[in-house]
Amino acid sequence: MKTMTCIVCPMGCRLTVDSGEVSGHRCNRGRDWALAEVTNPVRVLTTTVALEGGELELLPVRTLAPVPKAKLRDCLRHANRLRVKAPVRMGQVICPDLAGTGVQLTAARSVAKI
Amino acid sequence: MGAALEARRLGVGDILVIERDKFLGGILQQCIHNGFGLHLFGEELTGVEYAQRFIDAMQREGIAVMTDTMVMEAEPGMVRAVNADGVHEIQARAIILAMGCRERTRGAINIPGSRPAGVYTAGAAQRLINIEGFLPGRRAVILGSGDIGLIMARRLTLEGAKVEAVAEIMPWSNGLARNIAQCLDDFNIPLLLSHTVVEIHGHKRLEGVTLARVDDNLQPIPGSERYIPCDLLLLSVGLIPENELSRQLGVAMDPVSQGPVVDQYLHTSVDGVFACGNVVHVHDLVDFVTLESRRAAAGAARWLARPKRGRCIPLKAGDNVSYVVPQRISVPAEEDVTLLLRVRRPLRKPEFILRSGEEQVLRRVRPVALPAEMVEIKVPAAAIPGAGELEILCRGEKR
Repeated sequence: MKTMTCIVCPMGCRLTVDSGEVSGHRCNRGRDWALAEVTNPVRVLTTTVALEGGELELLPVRTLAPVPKAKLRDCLRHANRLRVKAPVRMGQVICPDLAGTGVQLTAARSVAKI
Repeated sequence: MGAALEARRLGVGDILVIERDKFLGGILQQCIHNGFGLHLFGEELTGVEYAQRFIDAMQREGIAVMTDTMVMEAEPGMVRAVNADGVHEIQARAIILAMGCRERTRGAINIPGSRPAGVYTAGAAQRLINIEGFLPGRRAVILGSGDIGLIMARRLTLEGAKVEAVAEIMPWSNGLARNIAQCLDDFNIPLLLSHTVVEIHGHKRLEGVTLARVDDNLQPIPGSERYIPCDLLLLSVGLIPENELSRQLGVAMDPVSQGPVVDQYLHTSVDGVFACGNVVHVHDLVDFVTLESRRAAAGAARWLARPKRGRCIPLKAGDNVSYVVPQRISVPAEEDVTLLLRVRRPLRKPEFILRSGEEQVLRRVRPVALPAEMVEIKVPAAAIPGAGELEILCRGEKR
């Protein structure tokens, strides 16, 4: 039996998983998250990457889908090597496959060129 | 932006948004983490994305914007702002205040000790890391477990710093449960409840802090001190609505929420001056800020169409309720009224009772209420009496 705090939404439900059965959830997303959490926990990674020629020197980015928690470090290392050129539009793919996870890294905001 | 877009949707033609920063979006621009927009957009956005959606909508609607512009003073009907082009006097029949809030600082909580470099508010550090690109320290202690402190614990860890502990003076955290899970537990960062910083060490640069356990009266317990070496202390010890302009406008203030007293249209005590968001009271979720901003826009649009104000009845915060917004209700109420309030202490099975004198107007029961989580209660227009005084109170078992 494992108990955890759901991170799917700000409600923060207390979930229990007991031999594949979830309790304490108030939505299906919470149930699915709990099952993933005991087998392959995943997280959305948000960070910044270096931006050249833009109004800002850092571009905030996110993984479009959650990545395995165990690969967060590799994902960060990969993101830290990226260099992006302005202009950038929100949603633009910055990296098609972050650290071999198959997950895209996308721009979280638009930045104009200077 | 939420208010501007809603005002435009309601047919207001001439709208101007004034922003002192270089970009629109306020604090969202440094909130690169996700968790925003679930209520409004049905998906998890980063703060930056949430802001960008509004910025894009503003551009589509062609709403006028002045950035890098500081409002110096305002009076009913007029705003005086300054930017690189000079001083601008802008006429406005309705003004919506949306200045947000500021962080409490070390001075606000009187931590003894020297004054070395390396002591920051959590939000200042967030800006340094996420926008400016500087890591302000390598070994950190965070005082206060509000959401910004928790988010920064994770952010510092991801950027290669070591977060030794998050200390919280209260016996409970004021942050969202999921932030404790995903920002602290995920990285094995200890959360020390009933602990505070009693001494700051170092002269030029922070060298360490002394933590101590506190008793039920929040006083440090002698003998419980321990020294933690660190070069960074972040303070996440609360937010204060930024109301210099409101005060200067002569708006009546609520001493508990620290924001203007408003009615359900977010109309302040000064005719034609409205307020929404963290300048009224500190919100937990940006979605709720946006919803409130839309109500303020509706109030302002209504005022523009018919600049007359009805009678107001007061709404008081009673037992276990620290504050409620709105603090008064214009009657007769034409639409359902949304009450936003906070409880004083964690309560199980809280029962919220709205009453007019001795008469119960409305009763709502929730599974749990925490001071950190704003409670929303909808009151049908028909339930609101046309006269007298209203009080909202809460009964519940201590948790």
